[in-house]
Amino acid sequence: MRMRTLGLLRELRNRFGPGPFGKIAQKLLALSFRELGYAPIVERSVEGVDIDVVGETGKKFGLEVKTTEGLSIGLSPNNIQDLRDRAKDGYSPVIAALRLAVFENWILAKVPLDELSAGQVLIERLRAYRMSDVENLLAPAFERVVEEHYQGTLKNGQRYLSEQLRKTGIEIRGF
Amino acid sequence: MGYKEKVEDKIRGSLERPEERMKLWEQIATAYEEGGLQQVESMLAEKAEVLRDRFENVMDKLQKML
Amino acid sequence: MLQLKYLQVEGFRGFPTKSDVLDLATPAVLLYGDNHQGKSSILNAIEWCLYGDQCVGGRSGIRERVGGWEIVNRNASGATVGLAIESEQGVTTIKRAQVKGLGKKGRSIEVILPDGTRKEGDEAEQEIMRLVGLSFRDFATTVYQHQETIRAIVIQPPSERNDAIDRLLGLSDYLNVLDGIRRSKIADAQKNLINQRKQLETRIEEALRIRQEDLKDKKREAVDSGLDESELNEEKLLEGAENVKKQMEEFASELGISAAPVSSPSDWKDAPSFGDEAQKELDRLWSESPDLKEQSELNARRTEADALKTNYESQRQALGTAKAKPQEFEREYGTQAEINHQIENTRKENDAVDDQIRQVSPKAKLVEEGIAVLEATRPDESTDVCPLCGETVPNLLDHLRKEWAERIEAQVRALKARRAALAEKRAKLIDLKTQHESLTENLAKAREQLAGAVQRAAEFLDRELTDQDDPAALLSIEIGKIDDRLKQIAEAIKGKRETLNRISQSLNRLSLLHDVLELEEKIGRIEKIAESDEYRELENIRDGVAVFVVDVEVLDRIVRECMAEEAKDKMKAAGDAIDDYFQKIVGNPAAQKLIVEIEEDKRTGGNSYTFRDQDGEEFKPISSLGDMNGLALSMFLGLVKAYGHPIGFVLMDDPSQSLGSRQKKRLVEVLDEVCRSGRNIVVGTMDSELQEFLESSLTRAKTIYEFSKWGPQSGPEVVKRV
Repeated sequence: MRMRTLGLLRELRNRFGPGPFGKIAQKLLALSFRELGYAPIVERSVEGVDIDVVGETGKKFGLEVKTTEGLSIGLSPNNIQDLRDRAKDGYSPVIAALRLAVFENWILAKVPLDELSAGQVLIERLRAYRMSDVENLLAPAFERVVEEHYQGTLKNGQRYLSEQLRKTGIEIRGF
Repeated sequence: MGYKEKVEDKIRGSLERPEERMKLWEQIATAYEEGGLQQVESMLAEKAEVLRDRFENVMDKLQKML
Repeated sequence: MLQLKYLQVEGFRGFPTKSDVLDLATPAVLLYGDNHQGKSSILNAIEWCLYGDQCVGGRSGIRERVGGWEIVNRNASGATVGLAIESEQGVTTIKRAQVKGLGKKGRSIEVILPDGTRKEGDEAEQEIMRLVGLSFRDFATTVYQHQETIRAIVIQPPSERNDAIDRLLGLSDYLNVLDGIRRSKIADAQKNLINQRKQLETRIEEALRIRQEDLKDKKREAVDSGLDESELNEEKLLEGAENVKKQMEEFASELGISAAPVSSPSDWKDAPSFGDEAQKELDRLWSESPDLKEQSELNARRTEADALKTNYESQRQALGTAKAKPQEFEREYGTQAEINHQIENTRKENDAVDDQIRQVSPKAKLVEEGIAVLEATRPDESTDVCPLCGETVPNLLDHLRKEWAERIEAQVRALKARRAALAEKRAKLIDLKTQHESLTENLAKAREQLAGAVQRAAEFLDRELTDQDDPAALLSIEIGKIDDRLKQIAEAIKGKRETLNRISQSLNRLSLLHDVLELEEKIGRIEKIAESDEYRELENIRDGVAVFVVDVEVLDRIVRECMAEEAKDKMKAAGDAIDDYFQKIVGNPAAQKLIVEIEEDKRTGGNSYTFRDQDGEEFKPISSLGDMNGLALSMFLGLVKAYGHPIGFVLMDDPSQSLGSRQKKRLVEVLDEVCRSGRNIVVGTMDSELQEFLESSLTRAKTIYEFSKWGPQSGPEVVKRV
């Protein structure tokens, strides 16, 4: 991630706090997948995995989205259950983790369910399962999305982004 | 069936990198047969050392780019 | 089923010499003796003969055998064990040997099959495995009850007992592999790399912060110098450089000299060299400008005129002083001639006094000289003969002194005083003469120096100067003229200096623009690190490390799963037998059934064993050491029973540790049951109570060997009792 994009994300995080920022990052990620042509996309604010995406080839992914400034993310038993549930519908479980640090990008880790366990997980470990081809396309798309929606988000937060999701045809479940 | 074969059976059923993991397991089992747990320890530590050396070499280059 | 026939050892562990052939063919072979008498060595010998190096060191899975567990007796050069085993095909004899200090080369194995075929080396090892059909681990679990394994279960604290039970169940390979993985600290290695990566992040952020601050400062400086924020780009820099070149050409023309060509920068990076070149040319133009040259020359001429004027005035003043001094002197002391005349008079006067002295007493002189001569003579050479007239006078020196004091001294003293005064006067006059001469010399010198100053002024003014001219005034007029010209030049230079300053400011702006662009480039370069081959390589290594760490962790988990499954399978197979033996040996009326539950130990990830009764209640009585031993023996015997292998014998080493009398008796009843089921037993024990029970309650034929009087050179004395 370019330093400028990192700076913008840090500003959003400082403005809204870590919790809401997690949701903001989730919505920005959903918009990035949309830009890459994934459809349909479902973004959830409450129950279930955070994002469902379906690629052009029909490949389905259920994403549990995590952001942190630290080295690890926390996976709750609920998170894992959500991924399991989604797997039953044919969605490959993916942990999308972003460490807000220099030169880091989203890691999309397709972790087999039997190798997933609740607790703190080092983001570095997720690299063993990364989907590099998707990540390589996602990284520039995410930078563009952040650049495009930074001002609107800074002004109106998640409300602005929800509007953008709707505009681009992303289904929002929850509030 | 011995411990080695039992572990191999399970690795075969693994979804992620079964071949690579089988190869690593064979190295672990061979090290164990040859020199017990100490050899398992040193074999794995050596592998980690190789990666660490490569990592530190690249890190040096990157530090110089600053 | 395989049965032991006989055994002979030499140089093996507790046996430095060759033992008798031990008959192991009876259903029960009982090895009696105190500790360290060689009983265990017999059991070890059977195991080593069958499994060789597998039962030695870390690979054995037996902790006591790691380091210092020696095969060859310290007083022997090699170890040999011969073992005969009977199967349905007949008797197979095995001979395994090891020579001390030769490593693998010193190891040998030989097997003679029932048909007489002889096999050696790897072929012999294969024949043994074919015959025994049991791995070392299974042998150690279901054939040979090791003293250490029972002891571990009995004496380990409950938290570590799980590990001991794992080993009793033959799970040592899993445990050892897991231990090797744990000790390699792979995860720590990854954490170390993560920390190094974090340090790089910090350095990058710090470098960027510093450069961005520098950039901000430079931009502010650039704006302060008259540039607009929108002009801080390469295009503006190149345009500015062209502008400087044009300004310099105009300036050269204004100065009336030709400008040397300065090469234009091709991009912003050339700005410093362009700036240096332009500055050098600017310095040259300025230093070679006619006005500046004239100004410089005039300044030098003015300085010289000032110096000449000052010099002339000071020489003139010096001459005045030099003239006044002789006049003043003569007024006080007279002229040179007068002083000379006085000196001559004084000389004459002095001569007259000398004459008077000689006239007043010719003798005085003589006496005075005589005294002087006599006083100068050494005392031992004193004489009464006058050295001047040759006359002899007694006590001549005293006589002369008396005459000098009484008659001559007063007259001579007065004349001598007069002569001394004249000498002093004469000396003063000579000094005055010298002073007058010096003043006259100074005057001449001052005249000469003034003439020199006038001469130099004349040369400077480029005209002749006579006594009628005032060089000081002439020099003042010249200085005035120079000052007027310098004023004119300064006016002319002022305008040109403004042009020069304008060009210098333009050059400074170019330099600031360059600094801004350079800092922007440096910042960009840091950002571009992420696109470098090196960074991509780092990313690949990070991925590689992650894959390696995760794979090792997954394998670790798989090994644990297999270990748990095997433990469960074994418990499932042997559960009833274990329960049966446990009831028989321990005998607890409250517990009608022993259920062994295996779960994952949340702390270690290994197996956790819980013992429950028929109601699922935790089996509390298993807290005494006797109960623990009873449990361990039950598990061993249960596994022996459940395992359907063809080995028809069981080796037990000191099985009665911590058992009470009742439990020992019950153990013997169980062993009798084992014997009657067709398995022979070889039991080593030092426990006399157990020995009594074995002899009284074992219903099968038995051979007893008593081990005693062990010595380091001789080994034990082994006595057979049937």
